[in-house]
Amino acid sequence: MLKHSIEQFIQYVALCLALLCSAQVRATDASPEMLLMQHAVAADLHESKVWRQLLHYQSSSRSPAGIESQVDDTRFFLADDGKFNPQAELLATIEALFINAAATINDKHPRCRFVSRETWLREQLGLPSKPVPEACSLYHEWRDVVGSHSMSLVFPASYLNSPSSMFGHTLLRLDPENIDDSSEWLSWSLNFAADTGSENFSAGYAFKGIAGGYAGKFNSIPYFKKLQEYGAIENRDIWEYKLDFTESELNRMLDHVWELRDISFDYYFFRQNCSYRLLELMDYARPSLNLANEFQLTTIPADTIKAVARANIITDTHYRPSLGTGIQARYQSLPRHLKPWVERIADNDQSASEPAFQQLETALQAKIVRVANDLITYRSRRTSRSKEMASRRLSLLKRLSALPTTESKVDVPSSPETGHDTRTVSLGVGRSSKRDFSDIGIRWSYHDLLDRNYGYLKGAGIILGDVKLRRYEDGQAQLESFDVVKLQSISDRALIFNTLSWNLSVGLARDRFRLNNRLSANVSGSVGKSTELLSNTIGYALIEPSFVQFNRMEETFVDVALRLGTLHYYRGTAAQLELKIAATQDESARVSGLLNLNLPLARNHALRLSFDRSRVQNNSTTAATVQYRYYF
Amino acid sequence: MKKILASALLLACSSTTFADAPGGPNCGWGNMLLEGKTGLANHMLALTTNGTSGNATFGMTFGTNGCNVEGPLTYGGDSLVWFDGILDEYSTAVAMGHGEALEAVAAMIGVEQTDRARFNNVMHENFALLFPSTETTSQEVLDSMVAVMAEDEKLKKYIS
Repeated sequence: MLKHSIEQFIQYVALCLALLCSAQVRATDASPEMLLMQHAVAADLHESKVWRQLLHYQSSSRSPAGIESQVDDTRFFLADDGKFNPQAELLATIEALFINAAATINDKHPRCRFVSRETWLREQLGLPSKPVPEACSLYHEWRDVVGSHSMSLVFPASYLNSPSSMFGHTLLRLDPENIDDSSEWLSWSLNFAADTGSENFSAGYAFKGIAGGYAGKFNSIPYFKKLQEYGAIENRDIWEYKLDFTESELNRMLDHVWELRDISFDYYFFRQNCSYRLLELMDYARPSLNLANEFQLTTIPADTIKAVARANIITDTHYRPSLGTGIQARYQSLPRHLKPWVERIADNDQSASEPAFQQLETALQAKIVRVANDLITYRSRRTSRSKEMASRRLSLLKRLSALPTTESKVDVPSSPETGHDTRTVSLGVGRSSKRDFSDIGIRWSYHDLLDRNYGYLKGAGIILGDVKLRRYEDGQAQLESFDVVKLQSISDRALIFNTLSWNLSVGLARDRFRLNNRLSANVSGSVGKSTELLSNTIGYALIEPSFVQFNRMEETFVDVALRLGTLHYYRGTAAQLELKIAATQDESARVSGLLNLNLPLARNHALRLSFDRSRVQNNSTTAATVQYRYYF
Repeated sequence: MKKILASALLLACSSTTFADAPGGPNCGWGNMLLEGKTGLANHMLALTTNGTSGNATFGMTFGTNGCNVEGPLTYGGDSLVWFDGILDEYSTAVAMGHGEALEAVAAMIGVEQTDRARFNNVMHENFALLFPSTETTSQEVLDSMVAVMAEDEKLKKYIS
């Protein structure tokens, strides 16, 4: 029926226009409703920026009209073809709100659901502004509990041993008025995420996330739940960036968020993801911003923080160490000979009654008991606590309550927006097996073990799409290597956390000892242990099986290597020294020594030196490269 | 929260109980679990969706940790469910005499900045009373809080 009336109306407009041309028509001939629509059409409201924002229209090659809403949910559109037709949607909205509006107002009424559309259309059409009807009880309930006093952009950083989290995530925090009384725990979160439902993990999961198989939805839950999720369970440090939005800007934004309640968007991991939607909201809250447009191909959460920082809307930065970071920092600050007490007391609270412990200064006792308690909390964070563990914890808390405790702050590391940019190009020169060569490299993303780690997690790397082309002095040019994906995790926390270190790598590479240096497909993974040897020095030992596949099946090699190495971090500089002993399928043992050194020159510039010497039986080769790296 | 404190006070006096008090049986504070996911599969999921699974969009109600309870959420007002959700952190903060969970509860009750230090101290000193066993429920913790605040010159005004 709606469609019918719109068609009628379009015919009517066409007629009016024809009549206008002949200067015969008088405005009074039209009914007030028709005038409203006529006005909307004449003003091209459907082409305005705000209408595009409210309906999430973007240029699209998939639609005949060249425009498409990114919302993928019929409940969001009032016109049948609203997803592709801004004008039809505009007219249907005017009709539903102002012309054929149902008399009884309840939560399902368009006036309750599309509050921003109504406010804006009233302004544009010269209608008196009206508050959202009292009968919209769900709207009022939600707006009453979610504060609009101030807003922060929240960035849970990467977490220990999970390079996949390195891209980060962003969400918004909305604060009530008493936020200045340290009540962030009373704030609300606003989060855009893929709705994976209760589906169990399957191989298609990751693919679906990338290809857009999931619906993305906004969700809004109490902020402390997010703090628990990220800070205590996933063990991610959290950065909170207070933004300078005013209360009226936030009211405007939240009204629109309300329209998106339960509404499905197409979710694409690389661009239209959590961070992209939040940028859109900020752009809507303050029309002078244009943040979402900066991200045309990919939206990496950490990059959106940088964009927000460039837009100068951050007024304050706050760092929240995760449970694990807090434990690590407080543990490291204990005198070396007292450290063993932590695990002893965590394992058996009665140890704290031993005279040797009781003789310690009470402030030190408190510090140790606190870390022991945190450690129990950490170790039981994913499981239901056993009765035994619960009572051990209660007894530790009782001890703690009898001791004087002082707040001990954790040092604030350099913040994510100060980190290097995420794409890299490199130029290098070197010499391998007595031939000189030059290299050109490009890496799509993101950070490796040696890149300057300010704003990144130490000992973690994630590399996607890293291509290296090489040209030898004699003119021979070739694809030297192509890392499709490479994940690295060499943790310095194994001392107390007992985690595994690991690597995973898939790509193309060449091997100087094999089949005349031909290109082969490689898959390798490694697991092992690492530990902090000295401050800023991590030692590791990894076992690494690898599969090397040349173009014919008979040319598959399975190797196993033992990798022993150290990583040193000093300020931004990183060095890696490694000895690799490999048992290969086709030869006797191969021994290699590697040295890599990364010297940052500025935030986005670095020099990298690499040296590699390998020996198989009596045959040895040496390769050395000097590389300049630029991050953008 | 203030209302809850008031009704907790009533409870303490009259021994009636909430018909459907959040917390529930077998929901003692010591046994709470934090819901979380682990394993490579979930890392991969997190990598490609930035998401955790879940159907809740605008959580007007939310369950407590490990306890199958949903209560109406009147956040920014009175919520025992909320208190239930942070009890674990609260117990640690009370034991230490400082921490965000203490600040949050104080803010919820409306304790003014000038009385915050006092509030922290009183809670800290009474840890053993507030958390006598691992089976203590959030309702019982509140009852005890009301009792100790009522005894304190500076804090009693917040529960009347």
